[in-house]
Amino acid sequence: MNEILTAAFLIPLLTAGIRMSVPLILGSVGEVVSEKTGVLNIGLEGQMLTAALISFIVAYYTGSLTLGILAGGISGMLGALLIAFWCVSRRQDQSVVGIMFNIFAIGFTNFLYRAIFGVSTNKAKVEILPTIEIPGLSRIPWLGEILFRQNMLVYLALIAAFLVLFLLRRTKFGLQIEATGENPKAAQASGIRVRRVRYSGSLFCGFMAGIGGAFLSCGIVGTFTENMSAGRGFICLAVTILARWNPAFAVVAALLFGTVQALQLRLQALGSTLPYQFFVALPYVVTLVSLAVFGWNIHAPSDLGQPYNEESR
Amino acid sequence: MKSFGARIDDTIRNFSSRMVRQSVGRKAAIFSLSVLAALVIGAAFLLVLKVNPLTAYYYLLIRPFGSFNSIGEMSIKLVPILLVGVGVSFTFSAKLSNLGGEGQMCLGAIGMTIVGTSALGTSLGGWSIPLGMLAAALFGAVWAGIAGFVKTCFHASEIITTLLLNYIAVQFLSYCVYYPLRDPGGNIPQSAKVAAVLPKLFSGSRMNAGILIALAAVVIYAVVIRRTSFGYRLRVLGGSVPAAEFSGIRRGKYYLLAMMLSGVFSGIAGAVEVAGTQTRLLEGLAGSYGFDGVVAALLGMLHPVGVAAASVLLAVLNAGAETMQVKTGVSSLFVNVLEALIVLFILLGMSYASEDKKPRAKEGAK
Repeated sequence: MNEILTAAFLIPLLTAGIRMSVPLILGSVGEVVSEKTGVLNIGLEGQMLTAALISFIVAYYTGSLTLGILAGGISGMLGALLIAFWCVSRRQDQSVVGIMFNIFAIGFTNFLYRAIFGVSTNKAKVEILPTIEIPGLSRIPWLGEILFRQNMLVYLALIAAFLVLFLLRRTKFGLQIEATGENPKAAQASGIRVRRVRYSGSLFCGFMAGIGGAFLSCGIVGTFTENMSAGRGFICLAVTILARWNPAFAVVAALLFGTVQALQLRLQALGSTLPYQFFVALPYVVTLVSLAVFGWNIHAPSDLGQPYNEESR
Repeated sequence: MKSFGARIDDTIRNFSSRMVRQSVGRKAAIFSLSVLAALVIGAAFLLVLKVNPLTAYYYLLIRPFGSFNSIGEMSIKLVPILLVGVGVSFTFSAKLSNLGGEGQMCLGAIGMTIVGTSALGTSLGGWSIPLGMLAAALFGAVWAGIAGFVKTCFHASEIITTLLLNYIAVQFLSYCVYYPLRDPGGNIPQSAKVAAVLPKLFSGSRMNAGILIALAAVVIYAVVIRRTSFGYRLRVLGGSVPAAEFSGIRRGKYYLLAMMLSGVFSGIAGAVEVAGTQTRLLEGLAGSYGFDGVVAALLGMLHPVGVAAASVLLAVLNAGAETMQVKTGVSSLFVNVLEALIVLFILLGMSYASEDKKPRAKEGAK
């Protein structure tokens, strides 16, 4: 236990924790917006996974991480567009369509990766995002190392979360989003284009999930492994509920879960006597338990998951 | 205010969703067009990656019927898909999405292995199989019951919890084959052979008695969901929660029961995989059967015959996929792409078909 409570253990742990939480922050902030418009995006996991691969392929062949990450965002958006067409335009069951998209993504990424890179053990690699030290701030002892020596996307993810908070709380569009998810009939009566708002919410969520996926392959690992999103998309769904559909709380919850993931890896590396499977399962157990304890659906947008027919009234 | 009877009738009518209301001919047309569309898109993917789609589809769709032996291979894929498919159909009937087939299968497989490799199992010989099945059913039910319990008591979304439980179960299975259930005589992480295996039905084929268990499961599902008040209540709950509560059906109780029952079937699927096919516990044993089962349930529109037919289609694809991977290098998970596209296109076809059945005045005015 004493090994754990030292700066040498804690600082790298928290630094890694912040890094690991970035996909969760991006995904859950996107999901908050999508769910606020009334669209439950269960396909988040699939969008992340697809984007992890697409961004890796683009970065690998163009040599540009920026292009790769953007391509990841766009591929996530395309996935969300597909889901939105089925769920918003054709009014199909959102969970069924999302589940199907996830199954599609597992097959699609596996098939595409093998077709391009084969199954050799010598894996294709890209350089990961460089660390940016914020001048001055990164010199603060402890805090500086943890917060201000991260890569670009870490800072952008945090900024994005607070922009979304501002959008939802302080702008007209934020009100329209809220109205669409709470009572689409009334929203439409007051002149809001329900379908358009729901499409924008879904596409935004897909984009964020895509960047989150790109961060996994191009930001942390530098390569693509099969099913590398490993349920992070589902953890994002849990974070959204735990955060009560509030982007700021989502950041806090995502940071906690990210730290659990980092802790899991560190403890494994520490050479504990416990079997490694226990550590791998830990983040999922923590998510499950917190859903059970804090996950009451009471603050969900009232029309979440319901299809809406603009023409029928 | 409608009478109580009328409300229940409405509920049942709602349950028979758009799909069920279509004529048989129309359903068949939508189904075949969806399969065709999925195959065409799949072919486009293959072409882009410079694989000849005709070769790939030959191995995927035609080769599984090529020999007596390959039909046997198909049957051992069919058993878990059908069992999980029937199991999740119970929960989907109550509009409860049990996506935890994989995890429940893992637990069932562990249950079977504990019994099959124990001293008790060895002394029981052939009788260790029914006892193992019982353990598997119990393990599966408890695992699914966790999600059901959390749903009932804390209103946590079963979609997320069952998926999380899958990840945990996979790790638990891995732990079991690395440590407590590891074959003491072997170097690789797998359990010892179980005391007894399910009998083969024919010589020259791996088809085993598991297929009979799976067929029995379909009959049980048909009877329970159509002919018992339990099944009726699940369907009412799936139609409309307020109507169900109005008629005194306690939501929590039936959610929990549906989940556990579904876990029983998936648990038995895991047991059959151990006692019938693999003869021992291995990592990755549940494979993608959990999701295949969900696809089977949805493709089959929760109808017993439909689920069985859809499972056969998925079993063909799964059996063909392995040959395809060996012969053409295309990942066997390519089948997931086809499966998902088929379901998505069917949903799309249905949404258009139900629209032109009741043409609106608006469309005439265009």
